[in-house]
Amino acid sequence: MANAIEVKNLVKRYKELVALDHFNLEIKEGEIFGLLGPNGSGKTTTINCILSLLSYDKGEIKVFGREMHPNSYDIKKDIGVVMQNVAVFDELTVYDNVDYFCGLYIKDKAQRKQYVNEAIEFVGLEDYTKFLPKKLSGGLLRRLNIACGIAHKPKLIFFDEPTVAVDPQSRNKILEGITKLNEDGATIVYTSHYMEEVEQICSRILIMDKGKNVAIGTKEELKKMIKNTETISIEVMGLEEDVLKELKELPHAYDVKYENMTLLIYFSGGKHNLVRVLECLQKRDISFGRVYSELPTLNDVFLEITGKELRD
Amino acid sequence: MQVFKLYFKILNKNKGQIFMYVGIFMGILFGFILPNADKNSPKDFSESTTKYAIFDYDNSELSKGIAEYLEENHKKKSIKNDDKETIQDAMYNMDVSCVVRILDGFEEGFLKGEGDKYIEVYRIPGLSMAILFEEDMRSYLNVVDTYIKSGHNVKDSLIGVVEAQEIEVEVSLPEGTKVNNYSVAHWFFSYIPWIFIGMCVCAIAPVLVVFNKKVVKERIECSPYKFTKMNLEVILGVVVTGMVICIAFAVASLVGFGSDMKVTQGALYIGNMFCMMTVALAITFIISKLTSKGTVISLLANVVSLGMAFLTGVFVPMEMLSDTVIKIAHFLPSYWYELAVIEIDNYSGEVSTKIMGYMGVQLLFAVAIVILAMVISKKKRVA
Amino acid sequence: MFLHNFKYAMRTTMKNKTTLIWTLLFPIALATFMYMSFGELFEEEMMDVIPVAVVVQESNPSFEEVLASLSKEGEDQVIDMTVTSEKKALEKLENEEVDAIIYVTDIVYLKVPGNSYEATVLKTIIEEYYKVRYVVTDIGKTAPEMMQNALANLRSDNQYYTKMKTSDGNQDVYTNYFYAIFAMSCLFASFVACEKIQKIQANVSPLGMRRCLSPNSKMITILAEFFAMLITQFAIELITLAYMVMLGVDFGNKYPQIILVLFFGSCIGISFGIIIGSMTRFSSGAKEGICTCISMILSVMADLCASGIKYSIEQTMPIINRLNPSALIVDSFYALNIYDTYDRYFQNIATLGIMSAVLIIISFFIIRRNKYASL
Repeated sequence: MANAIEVKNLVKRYKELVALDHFNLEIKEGEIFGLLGPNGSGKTTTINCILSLLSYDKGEIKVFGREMHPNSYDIKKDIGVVMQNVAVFDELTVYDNVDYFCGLYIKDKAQRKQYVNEAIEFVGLEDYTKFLPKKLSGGLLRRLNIACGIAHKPKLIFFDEPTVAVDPQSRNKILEGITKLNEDGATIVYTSHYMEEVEQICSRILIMDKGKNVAIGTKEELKKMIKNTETISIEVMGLEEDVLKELKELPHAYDVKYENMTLLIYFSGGKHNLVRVLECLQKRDISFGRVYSELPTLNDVFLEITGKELRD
Repeated sequence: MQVFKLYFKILNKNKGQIFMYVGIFMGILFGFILPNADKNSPKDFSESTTKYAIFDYDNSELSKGIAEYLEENHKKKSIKNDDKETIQDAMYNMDVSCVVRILDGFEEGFLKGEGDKYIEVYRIPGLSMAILFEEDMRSYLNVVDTYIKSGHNVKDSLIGVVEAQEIEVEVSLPEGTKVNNYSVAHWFFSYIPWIFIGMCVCAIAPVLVVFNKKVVKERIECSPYKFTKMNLEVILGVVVTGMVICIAFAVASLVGFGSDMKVTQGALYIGNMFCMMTVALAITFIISKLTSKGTVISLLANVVSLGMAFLTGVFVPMEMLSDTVIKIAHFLPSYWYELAVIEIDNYSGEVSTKIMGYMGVQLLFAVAIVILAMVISKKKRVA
Repeated sequence: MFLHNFKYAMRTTMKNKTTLIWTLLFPIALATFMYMSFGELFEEEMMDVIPVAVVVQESNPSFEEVLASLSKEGEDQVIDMTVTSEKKALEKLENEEVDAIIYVTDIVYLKVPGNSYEATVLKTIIEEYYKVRYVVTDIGKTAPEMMQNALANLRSDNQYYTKMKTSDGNQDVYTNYFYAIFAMSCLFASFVACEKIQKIQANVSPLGMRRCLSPNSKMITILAEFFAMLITQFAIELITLAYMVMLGVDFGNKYPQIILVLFFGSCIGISFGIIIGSMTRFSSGAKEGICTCISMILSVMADLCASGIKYSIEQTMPIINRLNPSALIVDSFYALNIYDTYDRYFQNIATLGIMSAVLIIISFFIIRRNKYASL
């Protein structure tokens, strides 16, 4: 598969602040690529640089194998963007908004009409075509924002935190839609600080922090990068120090924490870890409440690599 | 005092508008009013004179005689060039009402009885002062002509005409009348309604709009800050702004013409100005309830301030307005302000109840406007 | 693509009803107010019959004869006199029923309530009477045989000068105020323009960001917005013109040329807004303020508030009037009205046209780059 986007050694400074620090990125055609990172890690900056909205200090950006410039209209034609902020005309109805933006790309009237209707149907706003944006609820407004960005059937679509402040129902609809767009052949770049979303839909994920590429790969690959394979948590009262010590000496366990009456044991590899833990507790006749065994999440990946939580 | 502080933080962004109005006011004051204002107010009758310009290409005894006569009885102005467009400009702008051109060969022609071919008179059509000027010149030439036709030479005729003109009719004014020439202070204060309304609406209304915004309002209302306290602090902020502007203008007026005013007179002017400020703030309040768009506020500010100024004799002296307009003006607060300014200008030692009444009416207007604004805002909230 | 942009630019402009209505109401309201306050001003400058009270203290037949002829009803009537007692005359003067009291004695004198044009007229009339009397007596001394001729000559209406026609146009200086309304309303178009242009800049609004990403040249977007605003503003000016004409404001009869002024006036207002809107250094609130300030100051300088300011500037620093768009608009109207030639008119129109073209080109260069240092 050819590269949809190539970013090499991108550096972007805002005065003193280094927003992107020798950042590299390759996105293949047909992917749903996730950009994951905490607030202020440089996700939006990356996208704006790729889109040639922002000037950058150093580096090289190629889209569809060609260098990207503000006037690269032939490249821009194939790009769709769904911004973080809702960007629609307050004066125009839902239909007119979609038609206006679609019309900037598609000249043929009949085709445009079809595209606009498809986009509106796609986001489920059929019943609201005559509404003005201010009459729409937050979730519906986001959906309109998406319709405006994708109506012209672009080959490459950027979604910059499209689900911020959206109710769960709308959010699921949006995520399903994105998957559908990908199935129809579009390459997707998706940024979010919600790891669940990224995990759910993205085929490849890049974790970034402070403008740097922290880790890249499929979610499985990412999870393999860290030593944690399983975390067992148990609700238990009044544990003594020596019990913790003993637990830590279990095979494959590398860390034990006991806080707020919850025991956390981290394992790296190994089988039957849970059985061993329970046996150990039973042996000492310690009673316990609920027990969970969790596989590592992207949050664990981020936590282990950067030493801090993804969400603040 | 969080809200009070916030008010000034937002107001600070609009300070440019305040300075602009001060700037325009200063510009008009120094560039226009002061140079044109009649500084001495005569207590005796003085004849109205006509502003005119003269071009004398004959330079004869007779033409000089005319020029001398006109200069003595009217106000001579010079205009740059003797070409049609300059003359038209000057007359259109009432810089001169008449222009006299005496062509070469005038005296000879006059003696032959065809002087009319050698004097050209331009005047503003229909302007009575210009008609008077023309009449005056005609009469002068008529007398000269009569002398010459009776066998006098030019020199004797000119002496005769001067003597004939010397008769002066006595004109007296009834006891106790004041000559209605306005003082400079009067002009300064009469512009205040326009300046205050424009300034306050442009600068303060956008700040009030921010507080009116539903989201902001709800957020503050959710906080433990009492609603009345918040309102009081906003009102306090608005009042302080008004006071500061008033004090600045008061100081400026005292520095400018404090020496020409009696103490009570100055106090009355300033008191009257405070009343007008109350009205201006009330208008600001109602406009902030009517719209939240910056563009519309600017337009409204100008419609209200300019409209009121035109209808109540700020730009055009009140005595020149028609009766209908004066009747309409009764319903505008700035009319009462201007009446008070005229009364105060004529102040002669005792504070008339009239002045107090005029100020009272302004305050009543302010109250009425505020009540109206509250009704509107209530209606809007319900709707 | 231009048409598509234009169509939607038009639609967003028309949908913005509050702004649209106010931009239209603004000149109409001002025109109404001004018309109300000036409506009768000009007529008042015309000669009116002056009401006077006459108090005869001592008989003076020849002067009474003069008074009688002056108060003869008809076109030439100058005074409307009532012969009465002094007490009643003073009462009438107090109540403003008469403008003056004429005391008839051997030496006639006047009592008036204050300085006025009417008083001056009366004074002149009386002095005229004495002048004639003096001249006739004077000639009687030196050449008594010429006395009758002299009297006849003094009473004749010989013409001693040629009255020149100043202009065919409307000489009413108050018309200037109405010109100034057009100037201000044109410049106020800058508000809308400023607001609209911010919506195509990526670093100012999210909407601008999205439009920036479309495969279209900025020039097309700017021009589409420009023409949409121009058409709306021009329509507003035309409605205002129609309204003023309906009120009875006399603009002369060169309507095609006047409409051309309004067209270029709308152009300059919008381009002003566009250049202010494209300055990235200021917040959008500040830009709004700048628009108000500039429009106000320029309009005041072009006689919006007090007639004569523009003329004073012309006397001292004429270059300002050649560059102030507001003054140029007012002056174009004026030149059409007063002058027979079109030189000054075309010079003004050309300056307006060039200025708006330059402003638009500059703002295009500011907005053209799609790349920003920060968003």
